[in-house]
Amino acid sequence: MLPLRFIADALPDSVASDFQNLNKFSEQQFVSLTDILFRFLVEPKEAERFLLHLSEFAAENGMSAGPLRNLVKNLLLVPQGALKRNVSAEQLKEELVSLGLNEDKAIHFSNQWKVHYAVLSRLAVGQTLMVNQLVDMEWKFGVTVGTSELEKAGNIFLQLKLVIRKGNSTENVYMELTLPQFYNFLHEMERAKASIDCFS
Amino acid sequence: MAALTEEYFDAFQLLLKAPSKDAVRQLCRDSFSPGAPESRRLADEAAETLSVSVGEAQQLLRALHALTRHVLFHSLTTPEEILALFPDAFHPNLKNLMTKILLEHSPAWRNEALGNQISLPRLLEMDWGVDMKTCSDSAGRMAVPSCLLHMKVQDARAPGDGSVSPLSSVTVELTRETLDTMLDGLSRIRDQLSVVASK
Repeated sequence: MLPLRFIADALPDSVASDFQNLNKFSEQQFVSLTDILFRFLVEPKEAERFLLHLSEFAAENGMSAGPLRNLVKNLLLVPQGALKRNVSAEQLKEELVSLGLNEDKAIHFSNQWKVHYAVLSRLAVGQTLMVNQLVDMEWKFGVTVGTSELEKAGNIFLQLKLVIRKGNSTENVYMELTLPQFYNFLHEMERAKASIDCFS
Repeated sequence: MAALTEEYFDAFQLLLKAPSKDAVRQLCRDSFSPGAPESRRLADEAAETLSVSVGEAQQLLRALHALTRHVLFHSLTTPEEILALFPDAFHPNLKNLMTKILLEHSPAWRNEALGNQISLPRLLEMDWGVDMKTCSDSAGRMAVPSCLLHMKVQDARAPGDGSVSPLSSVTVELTRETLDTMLDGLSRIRDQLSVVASK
């Protein structure tokens, strides 16, 4: 067996026996299982639905649910490792074959991975660390009518509330800008946008 | 806000003892600031300049403070409006001098009041940068631009004990979509501002 080149660290030692078990599945069973797996990967929040599908699959095919879950848990590591290490579909197929999965199943799995690649990588990017992410901005502006020092004031003020995600909670930051500051802020943000657009 | 009482106008008579017009001008300027009526140092200085007792000097400072604040609050900008404040029998030359001084300083005082009014923390400075994320622990290779915005804000009013109010720093990360949405919002503010300004 050739040593794994790309996804070695990601997979536990039991993977060899897992893949032998997978080889025993019929083509139809393997296709169904792969389907369930990828449906979960593109909607990672639907964990309960995923477990339900697995239980149904186990029942329909006369397998016990526990070992099936363990098998699938390991199998999940394959696309995740492939994303982390930027593996192509062809490389993935070869890896799976070298791990002991038979050729037809390896081709099918790596094709499915290719099909779902765009969505999966977008999800992975979305999970990337963001520090103090701005999630919302509220604003109001108005005219100061008077103060305790000036009976008639008449100057314009702009107030911003920025909602920032810090870990699992959000924090609100309030600030006030004068008109010249606002125009400067707008100008700078337009420059930032022009800069970001350069990268598209 | 203290009303302009007869005692105040009596106190103003002390200004007749001032050595020069500039001394009067200086006293008016000094008495404008918020802590002036209570300032022992100012009272001592005024007492010395005018050769009066400290108590009398304090009364004068209180009176001048009330007068300058009254002119500011009601936005009295013409000589006639200010002259009308004085009682008829008031010393005419002193009345004219004080009116002139008050008119001279009004714009600066008004700006100072506007600058100090109650507000949320003020934005002092702002920097931004655009970074390109090239990889992370979840994605081996990517090219995602993101914008970092750094702002320094300060509480508008200094705490009364004379220290500078604390500066706080906020760093925020924006995705391209967030930046677009923010710009949408800012453009709408700008449009509405031009409607208000044209009225």
